[in-house]
Amino acid sequence: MKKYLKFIQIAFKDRLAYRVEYFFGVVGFFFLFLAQLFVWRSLLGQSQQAASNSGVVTLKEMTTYVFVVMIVGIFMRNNIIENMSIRIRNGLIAMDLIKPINFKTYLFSDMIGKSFFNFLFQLLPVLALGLIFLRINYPTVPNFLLFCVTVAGSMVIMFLLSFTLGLLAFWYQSMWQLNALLWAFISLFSGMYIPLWFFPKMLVDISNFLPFRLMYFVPISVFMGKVGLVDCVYLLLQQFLWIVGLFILSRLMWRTAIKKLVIQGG
Amino acid sequence: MRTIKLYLRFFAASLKNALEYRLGFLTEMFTTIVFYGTTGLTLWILLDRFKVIKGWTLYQALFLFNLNVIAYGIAAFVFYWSMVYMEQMIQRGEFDIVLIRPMNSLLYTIMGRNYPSFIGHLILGAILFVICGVHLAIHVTALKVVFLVLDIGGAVLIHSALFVMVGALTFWIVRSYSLFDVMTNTFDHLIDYPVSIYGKAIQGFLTFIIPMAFINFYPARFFLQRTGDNLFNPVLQYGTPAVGIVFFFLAYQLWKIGVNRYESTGS
Amino acid sequence: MPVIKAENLCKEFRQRKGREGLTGAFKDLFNRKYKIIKAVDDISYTVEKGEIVGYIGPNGAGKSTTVKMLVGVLVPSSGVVEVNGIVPYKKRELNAKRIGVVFGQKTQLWWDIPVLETLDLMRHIYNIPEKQYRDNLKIFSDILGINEFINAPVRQLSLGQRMRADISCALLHNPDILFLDEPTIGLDVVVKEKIREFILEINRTRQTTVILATHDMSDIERLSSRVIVINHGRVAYDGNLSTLKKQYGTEETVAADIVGKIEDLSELRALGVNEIKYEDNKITIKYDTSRINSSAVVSWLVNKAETKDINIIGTPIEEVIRKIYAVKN
Repeated sequence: MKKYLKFIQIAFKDRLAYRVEYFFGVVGFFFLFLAQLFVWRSLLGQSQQAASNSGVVTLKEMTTYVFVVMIVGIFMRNNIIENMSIRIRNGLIAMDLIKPINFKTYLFSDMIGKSFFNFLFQLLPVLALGLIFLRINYPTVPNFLLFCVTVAGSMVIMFLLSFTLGLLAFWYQSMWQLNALLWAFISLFSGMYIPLWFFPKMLVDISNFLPFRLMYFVPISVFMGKVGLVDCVYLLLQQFLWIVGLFILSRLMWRTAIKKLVIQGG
Repeated sequence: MRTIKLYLRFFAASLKNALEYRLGFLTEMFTTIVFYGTTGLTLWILLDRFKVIKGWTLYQALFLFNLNVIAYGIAAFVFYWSMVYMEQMIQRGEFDIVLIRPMNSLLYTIMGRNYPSFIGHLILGAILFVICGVHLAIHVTALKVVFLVLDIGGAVLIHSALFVMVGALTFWIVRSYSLFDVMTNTFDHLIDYPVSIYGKAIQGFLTFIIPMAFINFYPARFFLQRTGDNLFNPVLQYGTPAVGIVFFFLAYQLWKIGVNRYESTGS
Repeated sequence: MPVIKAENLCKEFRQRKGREGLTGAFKDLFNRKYKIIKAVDDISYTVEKGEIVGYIGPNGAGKSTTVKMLVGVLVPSSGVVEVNGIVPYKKRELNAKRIGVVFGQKTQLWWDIPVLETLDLMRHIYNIPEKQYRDNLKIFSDILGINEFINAPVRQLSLGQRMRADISCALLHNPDILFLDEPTIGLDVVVKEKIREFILEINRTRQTTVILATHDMSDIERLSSRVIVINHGRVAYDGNLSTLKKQYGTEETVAADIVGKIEDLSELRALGVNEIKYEDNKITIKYDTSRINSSAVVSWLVNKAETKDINIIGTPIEEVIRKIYAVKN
């Protein structure tokens, strides 16, 4: 257990060394955030509200929504697919298998460490600035706690999705494509850019079959108090099921990949 | 002229190489179309639901979005791979190789490093162009065609200038990859929507400091013959070609300064 | 008129000093500390046309830095540098037309396309006439054997093949001067020999001036009569190689794996070697090349036993330098 804590610490320190990256990350973040706010302000127009699949949505609510997208986004970001793809391509993955650490857990600790750092140094400044100038709807304490739980669930789902796709690098060359396709699906179906309240019915139906809305839209809805307790439990259960399913899938793929590696020698 | 021929030769060599991996080439194009198409789809969903954004209707907004897609595709095709590769070149001292050739350093750097998947941008661009053209009923004149070509050229120059500037910054900060990341994933998306949705400060920034509004907003205003949306001055809608040339010139100066720095401080 | 002139050449670098620990790293975010390193400290020499000059020194001595200033990639902090009468960093493109450069650690060829494509592109960059291009390709094939892999992309080549391709690329446009920066590093004996042979041939037929920066003594022994020894950015010795050997003596080592057993070492001792180590099936013989020729030792060895693997190791340059400074003091 201690070694994984150490990995978190190392990831933290590693981020510190990349001060240039950090600065650009903050700037980029800030602009993206700002742009989204402007978009919604323009879309909702004079009335500053709009009808949706779940009642009337105000500008203040959309501002809150964009805010929370930023928060959740910090914990979703990772370079697991890239990392794995590079290691698999140049054979370093063999080293990872020899070392007495669980590769998966190592990756996960790395993700946590980096997220934590990003949270402190990229998100907080932007949040602080934002909260000074903007008004959002603050959650109730129980909603906030539930929110944290769902975000944790999202993080695990994101990790497993990335890890599973990353495993494809054993069979398929281009990592950029895997990343891009994952990203395309997430940006469309997770509610990251458009809350599912504004989706046409057909897209809502499709999105219910996919895990992506559980990553952004659901936690944010919980934060904003749009989800009753019973529904919340139901959604947590869905998160759990996806996690289990993805976990099993990744296990199977991992075993197959190892076999391939051992037989072919990389 | 000779340099253009030379450049085309390099392009041919790397294209030949890319085509050998036919499957990879096709999937790259496909992925590009899906990836950028998704942003367009997002735009479509929003405007299908909300009908208008700051006075721009769905197909007008798509037209605007598309101008960016096409300009980015062409600029990235020429500059992306080589500028992103600068980080590695500087770190490993491989930039020395550029400097031992009897030719312009920027030109040599971009040679042979094309990213063929950006042809996906052009295909997506063509598709969207047709869709928008059908729905928008723009009155086509010879003047407009000329302007379209000039505007796309100017827009390409602006995107190219941004690539070259970040590439040049590698001489100072070395780890420029993250800056490219921010630029292509964040900044470039600021103009996916009409710039008129932003406050005056951002509009000013995107017009006078990093003139990205000239990539698609001002030209679109001209082509769609929009009234209103004046922002600062109606004359700006003709400005793209000139802005492109000036901005790229500035980028090239930065590049030269960067090379000088590299030669003074080593790698 | 010398083709290369270096006069009081100096080059200083600023290096970042990172502070310790997490708090140190934080401090570094805002205020960085530097230290100044003198990589080249007052170097002067001239090279005439057709000379092959060995430029030797330990790692970090300033060899690569000097070469970079000569080819126009680096600007000196002070001093004069002239190549073919022009200042390299001031007239970079003009200088580039008349020189060829081979970097040992990085390739100048495009990674993904066949070697031949790169050479063809070079033909257009340097405006090489068709006949010269064909003739050169033939020579490169004959001596270096590049026709074996000329259609393969560089990423598929072994180090030896890549180096041969790089040298071909550097000489395609018939440059007046060839600069080589650690070209034989990591190569096996056969390829090294081919390359050395090739350089000698080019120098003989075209009077190409050759500057060879290396820390492999045997490169120099094989190729040049003149050697410049660099240490800590300064010239420690500039002159004839055999004089260097006579003055500071060079110790060579013959190491071999033997099948069977050698009973009598007396003849070997009679030759006057410095040291003999014979254990299990390995024999190591150290001797002074100013007194004994390596061939004498090797012929004794092959007469006495069946050898599996013979290696002749020259004196490491560090040893020579140490001796130079020892004598100076």
